[in-house]
Amino acid sequence: MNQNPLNEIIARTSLDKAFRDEFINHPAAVLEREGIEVPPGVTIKIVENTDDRLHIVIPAALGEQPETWTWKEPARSPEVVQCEGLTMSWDVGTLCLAGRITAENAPLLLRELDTVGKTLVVDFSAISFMGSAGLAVLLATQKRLSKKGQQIFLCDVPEPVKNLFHLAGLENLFKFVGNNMKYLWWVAFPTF
Amino acid sequence: MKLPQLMNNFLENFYSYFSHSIGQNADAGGASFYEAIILPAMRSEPFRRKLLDDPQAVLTEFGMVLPEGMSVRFLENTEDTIHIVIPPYVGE
Repeated sequence: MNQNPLNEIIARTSLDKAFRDEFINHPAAVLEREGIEVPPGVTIKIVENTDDRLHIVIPAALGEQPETWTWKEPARSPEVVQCEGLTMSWDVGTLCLAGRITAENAPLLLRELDTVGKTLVVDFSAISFMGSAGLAVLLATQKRLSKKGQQIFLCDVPEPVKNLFHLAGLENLFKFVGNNMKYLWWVAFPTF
Repeated sequence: MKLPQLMNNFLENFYSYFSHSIGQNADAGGASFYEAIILPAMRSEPFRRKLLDDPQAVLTEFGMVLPEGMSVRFLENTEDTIHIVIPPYVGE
């Protein structure tokens, strides 16, 4: 099945302010422009998630039996990889890292990131050290993903690690986000 | 493609992952979030009312713990009203 065009529209609202405002004010017009048919008589309500407010939508039955909805196995198993002082685990669309990213374990991180073809969040909250090898890995992944219009979000990066990005002049190539993104990001991106 | 169908595909996909992420709770007898909350909400009017009126109580019963300071609200899609939830703005 093709990618659901709604995913793209919703993703774009978090990054493109003009598009977001337009979507909030004229959702039907934007959807029609993107090739989505809005049946007459349907009201669209746009609801914004915030850092402290999560919205969950109960689907309409649409005459289609919900029993036929299939359970999809998530793309990733929650297995934990541990190597040379670095621990990696997946929490849906978030790669959670813990420990130190060094020249020894950076290739392993690259191997893990190479399996990802879509926008992802990398949780840095438990990283105590990252050397330039780690930076190179992130840069390579960001370059690869950006060609497809995807990107890495770096979540909860400790100040000393963030300084490395600053010193290398690479701060602007990455999106740094707060800890809440871990909980909220995937709400909008169920296709990880 | 029509919006209602797309929306339901979107939500179906969403709850598959949502369930995987926080829904597999032993307290609820191993039922996923989708099985324990969403399906009953679609099938039972009283349960849906309860979810809309007091989401926190239902979620607590289910054993779902939200991050500190975060609240949750359920919205009901119908044949003629579709809610689209968008994430916080994170651009420049």
